[in-house]
Amino acid sequence: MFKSNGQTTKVPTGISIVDTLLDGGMPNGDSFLIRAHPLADPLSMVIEFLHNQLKNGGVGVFLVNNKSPASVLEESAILKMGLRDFKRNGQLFFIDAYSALFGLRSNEAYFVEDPNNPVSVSKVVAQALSECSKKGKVFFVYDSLNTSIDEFGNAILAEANTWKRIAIAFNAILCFIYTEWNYPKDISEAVANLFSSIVDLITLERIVATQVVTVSKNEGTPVSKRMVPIKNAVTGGIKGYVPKILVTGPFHAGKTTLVHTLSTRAVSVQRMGTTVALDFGHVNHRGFTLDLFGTVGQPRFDPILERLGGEALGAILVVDSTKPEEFPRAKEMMHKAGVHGLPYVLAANKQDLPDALSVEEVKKKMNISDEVAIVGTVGTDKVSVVKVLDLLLDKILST
Amino acid sequence: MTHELLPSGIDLLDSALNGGFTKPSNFLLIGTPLSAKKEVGLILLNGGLERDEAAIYISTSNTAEEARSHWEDYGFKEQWEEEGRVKFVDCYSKMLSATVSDTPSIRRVPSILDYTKLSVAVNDWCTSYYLQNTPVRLMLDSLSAFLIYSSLQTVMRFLHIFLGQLRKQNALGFFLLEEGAHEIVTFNQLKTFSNGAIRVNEESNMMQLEGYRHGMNIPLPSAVVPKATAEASQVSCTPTK
Repeated sequence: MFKSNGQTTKVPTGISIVDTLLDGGMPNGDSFLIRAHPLADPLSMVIEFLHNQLKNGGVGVFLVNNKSPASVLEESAILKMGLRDFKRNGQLFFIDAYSALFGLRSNEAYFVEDPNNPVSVSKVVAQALSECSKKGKVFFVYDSLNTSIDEFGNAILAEANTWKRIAIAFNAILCFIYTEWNYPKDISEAVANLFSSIVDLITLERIVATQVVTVSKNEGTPVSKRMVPIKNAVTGGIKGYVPKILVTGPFHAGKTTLVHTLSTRAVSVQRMGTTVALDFGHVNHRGFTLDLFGTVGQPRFDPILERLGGEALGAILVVDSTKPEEFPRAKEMMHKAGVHGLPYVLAANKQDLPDALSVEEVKKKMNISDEVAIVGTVGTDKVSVVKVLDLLLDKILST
Repeated sequence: MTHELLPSGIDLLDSALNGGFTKPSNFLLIGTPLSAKKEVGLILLNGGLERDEAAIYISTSNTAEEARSHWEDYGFKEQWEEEGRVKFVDCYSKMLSATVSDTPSIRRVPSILDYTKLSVAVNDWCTSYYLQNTPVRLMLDSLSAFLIYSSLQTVMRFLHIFLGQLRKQNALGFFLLEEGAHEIVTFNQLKTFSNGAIRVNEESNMMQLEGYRHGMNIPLPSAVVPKATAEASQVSCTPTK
């Protein structure tokens, strides 16, 4: 636990990407919203938050109103972030606002007998927060706010405001799950205004959905959205994910060596030492997983450039610093691959050769804008090629 | 967006539709309880599967295994599932037992109220088929079950997003709706989201088109109404008066 900006005490979520976006973590004694696009599933992220709090000795209170408590436990087991033992050990309590909807009783610690009545829900939440706070620091999950809005309309937001006051009194953290199902503007705005911090899970509007996480409000202040693409691994939790970085450049510039030096594992389709289809490398770096796609340099393979460049989030342009006559071809390949305009970093490669141009000379001869980072590299030197990747990642995340 | 005609799998229906369904589109399959609308839907899924398309069956009141077993009586082939072309999204099993697990062809959603998990599961399958360039037909059995536990407004909000995604992925959807179980306003609102409706009438053994080619009457397929086989084969499509 630490103080951000010397003001609010923060509790890390345990997911490094989210903690970075939240300037340290969740606001202590406050509430925050996980707002998800309908094609993004927020539950796994919340289970990871909760699991991390329980591991650190916290107490969990989990309200369910659209699934059974057993489903949540089962999902946590599938994610390898099992919550069952914490429940058994008296560290996790469910508020079951679901079973009664189907006329069933519940064996959970807290049971909402009349889930169709917001006051009835509110009473049980207040009781659970008050009782569980005596056992330790409470992390409370409300799953889901949108199901309650569907049922009660704006009335539930007034109740949520009351719970926020209780949270402040007990220094608890409240986390509300909310899926943005095309609600009228007044409801969406009322929900957004209720919370001082909002973590957004967004599905980018493409045919093939790509998920990103961002924070749109932090400690009451709207923040400029910095989107981080994520991958929700079936096991191992949420990681930053860059599904495609294109590595391109002229024939014999050193693309394959660079891909293999950077990658945790890599394969190349080659004939007699020359790449004839593509290089593929998988990289784990700075809490991110990244996939590198290296192109073929020879012009006769240009028809596949565009296909390889499709849906890339950034590019590494590799040039042989000893061959300035190839520089126009390098720029042409960026255009042909359709990645011109995306964040990219220029690797002025083969700096270990005696007749290599300096980074400044490469920049001048290629007429590259000051905004483009250029790094002098040696394909087999991990330090120099990782620097290329670091700069590119920073660029992708700041766009 | 290209508008491709897809044969339905029922010849007389194709005649009435001037060749087949426009893709992407979605149709309500309306009928009284036990009126064979589900079975008509299964035959429409079969029509796609026979043409190397894929099918997604969303079950809300039966387990996926029960749905498959019923489908077996109406032409289901194991081979389709083995080829990865049949998928089930099961919104029911986990309400009976939370520990029941997924399989390569079955995704279980925690409950019929968990619209997020449902839309994520369907989107995953549809995306995978889209990337394989395999056309997909989807059947939701049934919208009426959603309306038992959620308000019309909630279901409409869900459909607004859900159908938008299906359209992007160029899919063909069939949504079952119980006649007589809902108010007229519910029917009319749900119709605004569809390209048309197929009303199944068990008494006359006919299907009636609403919306596109409005009023066309088509005999039910013989597989659905075995007794009517002989008569159906003799009957042609007729406009209603």
